[in-house]
Amino acid sequence: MASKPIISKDNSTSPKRSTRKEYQQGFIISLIIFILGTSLELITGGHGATLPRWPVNLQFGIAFMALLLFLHFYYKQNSIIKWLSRVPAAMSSVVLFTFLVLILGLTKQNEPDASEISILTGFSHLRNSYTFLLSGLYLLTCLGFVALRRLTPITFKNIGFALNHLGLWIIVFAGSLGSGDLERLSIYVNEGQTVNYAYDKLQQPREVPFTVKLVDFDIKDFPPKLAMIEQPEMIVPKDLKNNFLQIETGMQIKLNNWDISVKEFLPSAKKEGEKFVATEDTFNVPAAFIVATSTTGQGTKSGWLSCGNSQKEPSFMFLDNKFALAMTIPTAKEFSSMLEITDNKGKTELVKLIVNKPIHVGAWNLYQTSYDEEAGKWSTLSVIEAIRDPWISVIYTGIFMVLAGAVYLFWIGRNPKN
Amino acid sequence: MDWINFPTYAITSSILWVIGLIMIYLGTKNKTIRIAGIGLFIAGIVVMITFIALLWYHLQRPPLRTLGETRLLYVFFLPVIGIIFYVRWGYKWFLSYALMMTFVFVLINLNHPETYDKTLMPALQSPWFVPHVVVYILGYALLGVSTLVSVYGLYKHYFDTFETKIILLADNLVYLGFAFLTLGLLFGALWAKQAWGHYWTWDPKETWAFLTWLGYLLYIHMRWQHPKKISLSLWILSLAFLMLIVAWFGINYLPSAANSVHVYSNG
Repeated sequence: MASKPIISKDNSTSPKRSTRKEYQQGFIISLIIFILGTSLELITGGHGATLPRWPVNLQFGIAFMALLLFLHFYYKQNSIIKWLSRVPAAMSSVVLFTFLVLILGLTKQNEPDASEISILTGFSHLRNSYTFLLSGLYLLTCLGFVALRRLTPITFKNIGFALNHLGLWIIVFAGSLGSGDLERLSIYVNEGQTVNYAYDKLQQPREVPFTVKLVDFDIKDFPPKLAMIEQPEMIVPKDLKNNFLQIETGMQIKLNNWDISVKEFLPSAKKEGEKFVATEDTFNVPAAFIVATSTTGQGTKSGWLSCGNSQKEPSFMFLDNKFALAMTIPTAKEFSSMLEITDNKGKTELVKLIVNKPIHVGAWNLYQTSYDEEAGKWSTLSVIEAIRDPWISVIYTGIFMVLAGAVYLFWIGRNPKN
Repeated sequence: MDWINFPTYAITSSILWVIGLIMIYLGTKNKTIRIAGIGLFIAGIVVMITFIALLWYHLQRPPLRTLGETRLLYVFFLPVIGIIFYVRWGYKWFLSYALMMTFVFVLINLNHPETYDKTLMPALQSPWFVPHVVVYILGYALLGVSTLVSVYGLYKHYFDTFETKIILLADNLVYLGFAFLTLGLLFGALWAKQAWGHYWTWDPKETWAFLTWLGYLLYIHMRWQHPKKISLSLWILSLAFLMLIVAWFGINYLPSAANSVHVYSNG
């Protein structure tokens, strides 16, 4: 490794001054990394960095770890290694990283209509840019060296430090290295259909090592809500936005000088002449019979409300020149797919897939993602996401280490030095 | 039992808290008065818990979804943290501050009758929902108070004599708050893996929560490495709170957050 020291070995400078100098150096290095990353983007035409995939990423990871360990144990006294394993370098790497995350937080990323300059400099796709990659590498290097220095020899006293710093290192390390191996595919399956392929981000079909048959797709809705809207724009008055109640028979509410009561609520109904009747027909709609009495002497009105659906028109109830009542479109409470899954060993299983409860098929996890939103309740299509993330157990190790580290922080309660 | 009943409970709690606090101040030399004060203060908290529990029951879902509901949780947690810190470390002024903050949230909620919305979208129906939000609310409450301490410390630093105990209190609050922030972030990651298939997607709310976390991380390291640089540490602490504000509700106004999975309501 480079033998020319970048840190002055002049011991005559006071520790305070040398710390300040180290911070200055740290921020210069950060700036150089920033400029270097942006230049690399410019040179490569703003396509971002492509991370290696299995097994190259693993080989690279092992080489990187080996290099850190080797340099730590054999070149501990080298001034660059010494500099990299002190706090100022680590702080500058965190500040650079924070700065980039701040840009991420303030700008829209991966927009199709991003400006040319932001594409060429990598800011339109910052997460995949060379700048972000180099910043992460700098962070991992500093954090790695700081941790190695503090943790050799490892004692019980620095258990909290170890959990937090090594845990974080593992998360960042495995998270970035593993991102190239993450596979995220969408399976579109109709009721009665059996599929063994899925689509990637670019809508290219790919075979998966299992088959999925959709036996049944089911949606349960929350009841719709009663809304007051303003004519003629038919919008909800701002002050009433949150005051809508779920419709049920017997419900009463006062909205803008009208006492409103729900005389009858039909969760599935169809229109017959001027009124609604209960039905189980396809494309039925929820409907409610409403009586509204003015508290300012404008009389009593009654009528049917319905939110309609993709096939049926909604029904409103006009109260006066300004206000009308409407029914909101029900939101989904639960949607689920009854699936028959056959894995590559020929084993078949009948399982119910719902949101928040993925199921495992070999190395894959299946998630209930969506359905035909146009058809809503009558959707016969289920959209399932299939995800394979071989690095997840490494990530979990890091996450649980930092979780334990957080409990440690809570337990000590404050900086033990003071 | 719903928001319509909130004023009754809020006013009862507030009266108990104010009387309790006055008695704690009056009872500096008289233990009986002091303990009675603490008792009344806790009674105020119990009234608030009752309201929250009944609201939860009425909504048939945890009251943790809308901004109004999270404010309600602060109305509960701030007095709890205040009284614990008072009993444990004897910070009387801290209790007053915590109570002052509580009243800000009570007033906002009294002026904004909140959502009656009972619906909870499928992605939020998860055992992770309650722990994820509760640890965040606890963390935010602690860190919010640490901001007050930092502003007070900066005032003392520039215009008066600074006392070391101020920054020690800030450290104390930040360590506890940061621990909760870390738990919230990671619970969120574990939940996201369950609900969306990936533990980290750089959703704007995630990005800002991470920035907040980095801000307090800088403060902790600054304090560790340079304990004598008081004013710089206090400035970092004040600025970290800006990140927290954006992460908490500023996100609803950011263009970058248009497609966030975390923007559920404009309440």
